[in-house]
Amino acid sequence: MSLAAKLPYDHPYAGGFSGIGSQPLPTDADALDYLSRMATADGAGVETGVAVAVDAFFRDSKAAGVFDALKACCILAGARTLAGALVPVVGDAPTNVANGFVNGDFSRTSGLTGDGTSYIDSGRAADDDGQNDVHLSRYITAAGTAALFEIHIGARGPSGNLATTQIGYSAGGAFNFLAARNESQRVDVAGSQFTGFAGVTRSVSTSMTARINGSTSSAASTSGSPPSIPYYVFARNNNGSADGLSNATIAFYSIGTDIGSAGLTALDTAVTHLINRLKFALLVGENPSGLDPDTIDYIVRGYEAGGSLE
Amino acid sequence: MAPMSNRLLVPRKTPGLLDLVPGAAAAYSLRSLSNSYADPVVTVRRSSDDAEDSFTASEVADGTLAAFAGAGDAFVKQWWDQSGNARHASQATTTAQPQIVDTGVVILDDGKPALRFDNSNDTLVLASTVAFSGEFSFYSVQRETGARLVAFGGTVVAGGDGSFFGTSSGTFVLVRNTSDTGLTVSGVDVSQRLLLAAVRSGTGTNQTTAFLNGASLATGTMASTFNLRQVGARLTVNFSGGTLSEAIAYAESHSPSTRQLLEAQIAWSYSV
Repeated sequence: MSLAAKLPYDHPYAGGFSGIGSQPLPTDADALDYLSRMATADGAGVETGVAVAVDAFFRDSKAAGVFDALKACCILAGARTLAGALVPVVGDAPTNVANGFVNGDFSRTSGLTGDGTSYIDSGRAADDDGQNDVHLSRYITAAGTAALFEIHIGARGPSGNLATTQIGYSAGGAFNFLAARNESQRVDVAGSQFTGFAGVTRSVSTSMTARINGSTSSAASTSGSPPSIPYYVFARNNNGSADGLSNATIAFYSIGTDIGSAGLTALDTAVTHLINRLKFALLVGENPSGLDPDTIDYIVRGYEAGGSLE
Repeated sequence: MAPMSNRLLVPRKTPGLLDLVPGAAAAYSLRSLSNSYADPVVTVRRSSDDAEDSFTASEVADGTLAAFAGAGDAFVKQWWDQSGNARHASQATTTAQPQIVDTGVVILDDGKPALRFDNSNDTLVLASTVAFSGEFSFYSVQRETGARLVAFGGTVVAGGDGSFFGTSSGTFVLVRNTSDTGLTVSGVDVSQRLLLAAVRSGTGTNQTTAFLNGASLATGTMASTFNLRQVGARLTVNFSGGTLSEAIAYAESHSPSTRQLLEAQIAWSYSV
């Protein structure tokens, strides 16, 4: 559709052309910094529509009061290349361990797809955040198919200190599990592996809160001292070794400090809108600025089903 | 001088693409590329009785062309060159003419008129070859729905297989022949309407750059002369399937600022 929305956001005429038209551009300073770093990694700035989607995420997460809690975070979709996708939104930079992921694993609209052997080192240690001040989240667009269990993001200490923080799925037990500083006292949600947003957060030593599939619940859970090892994505750092490798498609993850129950809901909304806006910008080719999120969601689902607005 | 309140303020007309950057070697579009251009943009044959007529950009857009076609189809006999060089692209064979009206409705791509090539034998041919032996800058607005979309193509060249600027099955293509692979960049979503550009500052190493929707796609080397002889095809075998709205060629290397000016003028003109 609109060629103007496809112009790179840093194109000198991306904002408009005299006498013909104009469109919103990203303006949030942190978003612009992120987009600039991404452009360097990608070799070119992303389309204005993509940049505006990213800008909206920064604004939404700041307005919700969760942005400052993001200490290691990647949007694994939207960028032009895998290198751009691995540029951190804020904080610690990830490592593509042994260059396991290649560009063919990356989709601009869906994210990064695991292969059951590759994983990302988030660069942020589990004990970089407080024992009772932690959150973890991920957004997946396609469920994994590991035979027994898989971890989308997590870190697990040595035997005897299972202050594990992780989000994963047990194919054997057919339930999703979400833990924060305690491997066994966690939230389990039965059913298939849920796509979309999932997150855990903890602010006290006696309980933790999790959100998945649009529902939030809490569990009594005694926190343990977190191990000094980095979280892995697409796997769990099991005391220095990757296990629970996942072949899900992950479009976003975040690690950081506690965001509370309301923060989980707000982050869910911000990330869900982000992914839909990215898809809208890339599938429809339009600038998502100003459009109702439900409208965007509806149109994107139509495109993903093979339809179009034409 | 009369006071401001007594003066009539006339809005300044937006410059056309060739007003901003004149000097094109060949320029094909269904819109007026300069404010001074008053000639037709296409000569059309209607299917009902094979009658022909020529239409300005305004007449393409305001329903005059559709009224001429009636309830039938219409096909392009000539795409007029707006550069002033009279390098019109024509096709006398009726079965090889690209379509512009489909059952009484002007063919649109994202709301803008476009020529539709049938992926079989449609092409428009220049009277003589335009050889770009050194610098050039090419631009096109196109969408591939068949095996390829050739904005600019060369005719038969001894010892080679002709020039090609466009896309082919998900790949940006700027080549001359089998001995000069030029630039080919895979991974392009050709199902979307694209703004392609290619700028060559010389025939040496890494002096040619491909651009997609205003972003650099790849830099490489194209050492051979690019021979422009056709629109919509290369040779007698590589025919296009899809829509082509605009194709412009300059025999000069555009600076980044000039290229960006043209990209912006095109991109904003084709937004809906």
